[in-house]
Amino acid sequence: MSARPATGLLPRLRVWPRRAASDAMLIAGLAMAGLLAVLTLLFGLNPPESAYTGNLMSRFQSPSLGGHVFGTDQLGRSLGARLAAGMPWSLGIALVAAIIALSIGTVMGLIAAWLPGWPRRVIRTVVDTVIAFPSLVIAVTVIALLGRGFWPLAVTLGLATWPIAARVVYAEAMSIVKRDYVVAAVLAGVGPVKVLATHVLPALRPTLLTMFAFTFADMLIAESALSFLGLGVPLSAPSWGNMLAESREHLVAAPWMMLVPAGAIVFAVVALNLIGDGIAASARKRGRAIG
Amino acid sequence: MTSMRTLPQSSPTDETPLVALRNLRVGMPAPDGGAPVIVLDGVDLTIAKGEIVGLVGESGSGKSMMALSMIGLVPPPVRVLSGSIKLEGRELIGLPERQWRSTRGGTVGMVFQDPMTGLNPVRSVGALLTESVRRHQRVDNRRALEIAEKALLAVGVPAARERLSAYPHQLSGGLRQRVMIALALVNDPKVIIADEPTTALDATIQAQILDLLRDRLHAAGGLMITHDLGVAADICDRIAVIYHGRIVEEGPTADVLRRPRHPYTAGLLAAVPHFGSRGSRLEPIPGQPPGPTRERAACSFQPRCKHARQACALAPALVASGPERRVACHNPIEEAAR
Amino acid sequence: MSAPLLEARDLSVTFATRRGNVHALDGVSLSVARGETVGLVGESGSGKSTLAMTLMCATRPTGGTIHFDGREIGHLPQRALRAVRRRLQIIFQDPYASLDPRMKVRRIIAEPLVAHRFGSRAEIAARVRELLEAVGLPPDAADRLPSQFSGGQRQRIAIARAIALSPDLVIADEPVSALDVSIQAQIINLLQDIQQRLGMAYLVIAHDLPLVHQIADRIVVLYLGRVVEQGPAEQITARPLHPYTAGLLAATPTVDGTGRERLVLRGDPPSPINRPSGCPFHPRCPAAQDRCRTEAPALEPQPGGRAVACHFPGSVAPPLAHLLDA
Repeated sequence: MSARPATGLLPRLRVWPRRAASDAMLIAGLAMAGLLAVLTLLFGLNPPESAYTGNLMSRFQSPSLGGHVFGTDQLGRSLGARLAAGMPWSLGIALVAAIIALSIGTVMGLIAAWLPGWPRRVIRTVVDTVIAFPSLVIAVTVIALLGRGFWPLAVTLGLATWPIAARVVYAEAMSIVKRDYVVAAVLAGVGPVKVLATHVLPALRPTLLTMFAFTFADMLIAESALSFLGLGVPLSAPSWGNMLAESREHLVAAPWMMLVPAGAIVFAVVALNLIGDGIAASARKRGRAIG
Repeated sequence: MTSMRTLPQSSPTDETPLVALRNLRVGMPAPDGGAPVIVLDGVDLTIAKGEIVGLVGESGSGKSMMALSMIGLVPPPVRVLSGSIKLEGRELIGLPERQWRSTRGGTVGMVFQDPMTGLNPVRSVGALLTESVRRHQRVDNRRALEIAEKALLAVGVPAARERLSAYPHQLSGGLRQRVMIALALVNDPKVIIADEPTTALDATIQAQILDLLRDRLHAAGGLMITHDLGVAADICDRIAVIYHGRIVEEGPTADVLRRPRHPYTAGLLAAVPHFGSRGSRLEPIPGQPPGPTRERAACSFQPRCKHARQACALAPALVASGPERRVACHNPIEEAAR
Repeated sequence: MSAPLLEARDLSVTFATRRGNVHALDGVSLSVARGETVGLVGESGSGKSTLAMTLMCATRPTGGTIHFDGREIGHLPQRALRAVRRRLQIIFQDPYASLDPRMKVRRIIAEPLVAHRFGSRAEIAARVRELLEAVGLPPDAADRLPSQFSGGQRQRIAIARAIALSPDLVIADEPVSALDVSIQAQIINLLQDIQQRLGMAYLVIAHDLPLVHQIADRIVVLYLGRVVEQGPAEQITARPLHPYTAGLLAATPTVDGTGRERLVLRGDPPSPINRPSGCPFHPRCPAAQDRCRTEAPALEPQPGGRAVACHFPGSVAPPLAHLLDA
């Protein structure tokens, strides 16, 4: 007897048009994110002088293709260069914060889903408490204790966000651990950590990837907001939130000072959301195909 | 050997049958303009008034698609490619959607496998029934409620009046299926299509529902779609066995089951455990049922068939084989001792 | 006769729910001897799947004991259970749900072998090849994903996983009911062949009485969390003593042209939340008397190795004598 695909032609052909749309979203998002990554590596880590050194002769220049593509600020610094110099700060903090949030959230969510007794009760209580707590208060407190900077901000954002990830992972894992194949592994004598690592975590992968993209975007916005409020990275660092904060005073005279960093944030957030939606859509379809 | 003759295209009797499917082809046209993927390949079947016909087949045989084509609900991109479905002589293929809506639940009643998904969970039993009554009959709400209550009583729902205000999830599986049958019968349909109506039910409940269906389906005419030969044997006057989109054998139920002529029918009978088979080994049909295909020149059962010969490279037609019997096989079983 | 391989005594499982306590199992006793096939029959709500999970120690009993090979396992700590699980395996109903869709067949079958340190990588690989052959799958099946197989083939993979460690007992929960009719017989025969070769015992849980009759040495009938009747398979189907067994037999459609018997049980099985007083079957029983409404009958031994929990055994037996000559 030879193995033969169980699914016939019918289901595969039917999902075809929608598949293309979700793939296009994913590809567009990845291309935009890839562009940001390349720019960060090329210019961000080694920013041009003009990011920090002003030229008072060329203050408040509006964006033009001939001179500064993104214009200059009140000190005559190139906004394009500052945007590049801000990338490691803004994108880096958001990336690290998202990794922290998802790592803690995944571990906590999995423990809560696997152990029904007091571990689940404790984790659920902690999660509910942290979510109920205003995250701004946490941020102010931590920054007061640790000072401003890359790591304090990344860690603060991660610690304030993991309960949301834990909740999502818990809900999803609860349905996965009831599946027959997980029960079968337990009854075969496979240890709990191995079952979680080999069966539950892989099944969570699309959820985690999607959530990672969305959390990354949220963290980017949160970093900007905190910097804008003066709670973020040191003022000397040109993070995108700091650039926004500086633009406040010159909003009427030089609106591009606000539009340029805001546009960058929107660009990155849209890229990440496209990736997240694209992964979610293709996972749904694969889920249907697998059954 | 009985002489074989092809049946004429028209119905064997002079009077018009209740339902007549003629050369029905259902499939999915290929996006590239090539040969379509065939789901039903030239199905001929008639249902007389007061007759229950069983359509027996496995998953993927096309049996459910046949039910859907009879109520105009073939899911795109699958569609009816050619052929005819006549209800009391009236052609249903090509009807505009408006007329299909008055047919479904009106002249054609339907009972599905899963009463939980077949009934709208946010409507009460009374609302479901009166809605259907008022869509197909010109009556006021009070009269519709009376009709609904009578329909519930007719399918053996105890305390019918109180049940009208119940929601589907508040009922047991057996009661839900009775409600679905009441919904199928409430407008006195001419024909009732039941697709695996007892598959989701426990054995003792299945017996109750089969008794109910036997009575009710005989009043009109019924098509009973099932994978279970025992269920078909229980209530059907005639059965048609479908394999890979083609009817391979048809005839009076007891006769077909006692003297199957198609190797597939015989194979199914030998493969199902029954109380007499204990101690002897079951004889499985080797291999798998085929999936949907474009290429259909050969007999679809040939790869699994013990009786296959060279002629089977060309698909046999469904031809008369003895009184009231039809079989699509180049090498039918002559006199099986069962 | 030596001690049974598996012996459950007076097992109870109660779940607390918002609507009240559910007595999923209520004093169930049953045993499986070495190499024997026991068929467990019951409808939805009878507790048959809970019983499977309890015997596998995935659900802890709230009362009673389970002895496996003479050792109490119902209350063992998780760690100690692993040694037992080597000898006690399960086959699930739905082969589409019981195999991890992301894992290659090789890893699925090797999973219990790895977990119980069966041997070196090469030894495990050789064992997987051996198992694939034993269940009638080609060697190249090992490198594919479950989605590339049909339902029947997936159930073969699940069987290969269950027998990987040569267990003493395999619990099969509705092993063929999700499969096409023409495939069911292939799997039933495979299970019988494997048993003949390896000599393990089976506990086959099914709603399909003819199927159980086909493969079981003994049949246990479960109703609403209780054993109502048990005994040798051919006697149970030929002369049921409990009215519920008789009703179940009569409800089974047959293809032999005789048609169903005209005994149809009224009503639905009651929910395990609102258990009827007295005998749990009395609201549906055609022969119920006053005594049945108040006093629950115990499972009493009968001649011929049978037992029945009924005050009036044999009162509703339908004449199914024609089955005896089988």
